[in-house]
Amino acid sequence: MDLLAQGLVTGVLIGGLYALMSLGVSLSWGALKIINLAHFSFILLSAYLVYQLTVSFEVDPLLTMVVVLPLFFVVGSLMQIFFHIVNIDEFKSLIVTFGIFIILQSLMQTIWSADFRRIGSGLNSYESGSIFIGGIALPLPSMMAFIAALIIAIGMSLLLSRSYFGKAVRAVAQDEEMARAFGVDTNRVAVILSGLSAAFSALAGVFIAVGQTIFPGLAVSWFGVVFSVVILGGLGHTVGALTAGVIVGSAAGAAAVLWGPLAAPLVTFLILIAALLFRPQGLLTSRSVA
Amino acid sequence: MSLLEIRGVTKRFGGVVALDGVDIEIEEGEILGLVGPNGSGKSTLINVLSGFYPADRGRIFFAGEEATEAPAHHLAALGIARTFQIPRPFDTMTPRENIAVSYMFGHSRHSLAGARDAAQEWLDFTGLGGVADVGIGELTLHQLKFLELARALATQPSLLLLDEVLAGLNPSEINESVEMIRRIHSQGVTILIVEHVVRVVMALSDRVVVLDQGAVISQGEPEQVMSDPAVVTAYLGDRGRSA
Amino acid sequence: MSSRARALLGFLVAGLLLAFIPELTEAIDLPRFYVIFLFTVFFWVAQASSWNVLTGYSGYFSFGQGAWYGIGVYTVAVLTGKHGWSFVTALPVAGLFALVAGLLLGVVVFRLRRLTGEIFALTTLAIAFVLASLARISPAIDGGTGTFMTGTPLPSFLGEFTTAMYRLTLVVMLLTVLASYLTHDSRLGWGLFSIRDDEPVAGGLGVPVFRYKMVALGINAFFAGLMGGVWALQLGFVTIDDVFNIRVPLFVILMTVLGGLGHWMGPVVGAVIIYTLSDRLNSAGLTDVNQIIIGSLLVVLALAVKEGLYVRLRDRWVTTLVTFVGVMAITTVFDITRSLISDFAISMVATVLMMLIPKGVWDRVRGRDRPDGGEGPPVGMETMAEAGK
Repeated sequence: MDLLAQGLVTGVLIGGLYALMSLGVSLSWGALKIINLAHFSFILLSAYLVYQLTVSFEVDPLLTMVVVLPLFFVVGSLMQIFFHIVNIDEFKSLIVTFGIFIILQSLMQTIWSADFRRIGSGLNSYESGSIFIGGIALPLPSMMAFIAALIIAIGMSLLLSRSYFGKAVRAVAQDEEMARAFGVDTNRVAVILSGLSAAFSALAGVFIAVGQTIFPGLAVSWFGVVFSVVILGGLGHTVGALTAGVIVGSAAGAAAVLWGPLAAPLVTFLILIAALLFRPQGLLTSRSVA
Repeated sequence: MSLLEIRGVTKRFGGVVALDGVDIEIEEGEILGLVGPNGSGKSTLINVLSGFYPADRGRIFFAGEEATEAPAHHLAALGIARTFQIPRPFDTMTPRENIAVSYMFGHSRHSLAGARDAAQEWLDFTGLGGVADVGIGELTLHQLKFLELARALATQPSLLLLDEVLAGLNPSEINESVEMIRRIHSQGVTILIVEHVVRVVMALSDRVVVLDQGAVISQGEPEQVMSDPAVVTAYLGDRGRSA
Repeated sequence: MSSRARALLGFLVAGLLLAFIPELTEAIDLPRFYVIFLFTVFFWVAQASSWNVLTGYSGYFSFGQGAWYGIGVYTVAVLTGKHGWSFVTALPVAGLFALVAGLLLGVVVFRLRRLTGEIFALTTLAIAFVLASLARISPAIDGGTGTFMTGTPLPSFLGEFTTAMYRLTLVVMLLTVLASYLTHDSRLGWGLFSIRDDEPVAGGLGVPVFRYKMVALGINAFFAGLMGGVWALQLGFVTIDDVFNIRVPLFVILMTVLGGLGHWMGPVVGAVIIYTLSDRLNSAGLTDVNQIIIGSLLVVLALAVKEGLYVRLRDRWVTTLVTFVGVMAITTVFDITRSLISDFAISMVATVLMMLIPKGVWDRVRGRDRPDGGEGPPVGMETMAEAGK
């Protein structure tokens, strides 16, 4: 029973990381109507960069955020500008971002090879650190990711509901032409949102680099988790993503304890299928997708 | 027996009641005009009648048979066709191909062979012969609307639902379109025409139904309906009465 | 003779010509690798063509090619390797299982009230992963240890292994492309195109949308599974990671997008080009660059040559022929590379480059008088024109 409790707690915390990983795809899809598969490689690339900067300059891995986050914000913005120039639509975005994903994956493999990479414990004090509450361990990396996800989810939610920018984003998400007719600079909104999305993905990458070993195949292994969270949480709903992340994380964690590690991805994908078939608009939303 | 009978049809979208217990009968061979201010539910009614989405409540009978929950292609097989306010042609196909597809699958089903030649009939009828084999992007709005008509006609329907066919056209195009509708009617097709251009509805329709906020507020001969005070109020608001 | 009859004759002739290539290569002393290269191309032509019937024709984007392929491979591997079935009896079962799986998916997904293309695409992605997980977990299927295929006897009339593989893949490939062609040029095909262009409108005009989508999905799954079953022989030792990875779904997307979605020749052209390039780059030791080039190709093509290379090749056929034959002649006569395949690859690249010249530039250079720079009637026109004859 203790093992199950531990599994659940670990799962809930990892859910925070899952949510962080899913924010990029969720916001792009919900607000920009682009299914951006490149985010998967952004997360991994960010992790590799964190690894490399930490190891090469012998700094605290969290410090690399200063470089990595703005970098990916710029990358995300540039990507949106590119999409705007070539006039992308939803169908094409799937193919084109898939292509970008492939390119980035191969670049990462060329640069860092297929070998496993891990920031050694000398530089990374967080990896093995845990906080203990009543016999249950709360691993530090997922703890940090969870807190970050919580702050961002709530922050974005406030931003989207209270600020002018937020209202502009929601207007664009509902009807881009209308928004433009009302004077919203839809391009600027899209570019900024795309930059933010990429930065969120990069942040997820930071915690991944700190929390585990990384290798090229990781990106593909995230497809199930991310899409489950995105669909279950509702497109563009940040708090929804956090909730969904927790659900998926705990379900996978429990499954791993009860039926072995192979059960976790299976459970994740089954949740995705169930979400797609029965509740594609997400658990918390009343609006439907598209 | 009427060709189409709608009884108590209600349709909601979230909190908005788009259709509220609508009762309408369309006699075979007539042209029925459907008018009403913006948001009165005219397009919703057409969507329900053509099977785009089902009504929440109420029943629909076509030629005496129950057609209430029928899916779109079943209604097409029964003989109901519609046009779209903003034309929706198959944009990877030419006009000829658009019509041929419609001919192949419509009310009377046909095979691929000969569909091309059969399409010629409706291309000629709507005057699109000259642009039969070009890309959709090269057609004007007027031509696209005629393509909508041609495509609907190729299913050889007994009931044609026209959804604001005249929107966006200039006066001479409107006259051509009215002529076209008359010719279609003379071939024995029953027509339900939704229109904003009141003079056209008056001129074409045998009877007129007026919707306002999802409910029928008046039906009858065109003259009689348009001078009905309830109708005037619906269109012009209370100021209309004092005018 | 109607165009349909002419096409079928063409298939027959192509089949006969291709059938004897193994004997031919032996006779003129070419390395056996050429036969292997060719039958691998056949594999990809079949996978891409079957995928195109669903995604290209109906517009429903599928990430699930790996699922049908995987079912095909594993059915043959398990039936022959674990239960002693003969290959000949296991193969049709492979196609059948994949078909059933596809239809099950369709019955659930296509009946959804609010089905969108994205939901379908993600569901197919999920299915592939779920199948992989199930296979990994269940020892009856794989259990993570892999299954041996070697030692499965093939009927002797097929010849020795390479020739047998060649003949098997040739037959399945021809059947698949034939199915793709027949669908394209039929009532079913036009129904699917109308579904792709505007499904609600198509339904309103009387197209039986649910039935047609099921047929397209069924064709996709069946032939993907059938070719997968044949490919189990080639793999020899079947493992989850080897079968259920991103390679098959990725390549079929790439090949079909490059060659042209929605036309039956598109995946054929695309498969030949992509596989040849990929093979040559791999043999030159550039495996990682390989993927980068492929990814870039996908991006460029999806954006710049939307209708795919086949349409371009057909519209600019004179240039195609001249460039290809010309470069091929030069490379073979001057023995620039040591391999016929490399010569072929170079001629192909040269031809493709000619095809990438944008329409505007092309028309101006050729002095063609096209008012809008268009390239003539849309792809389907010739089919329509011929159908009446």
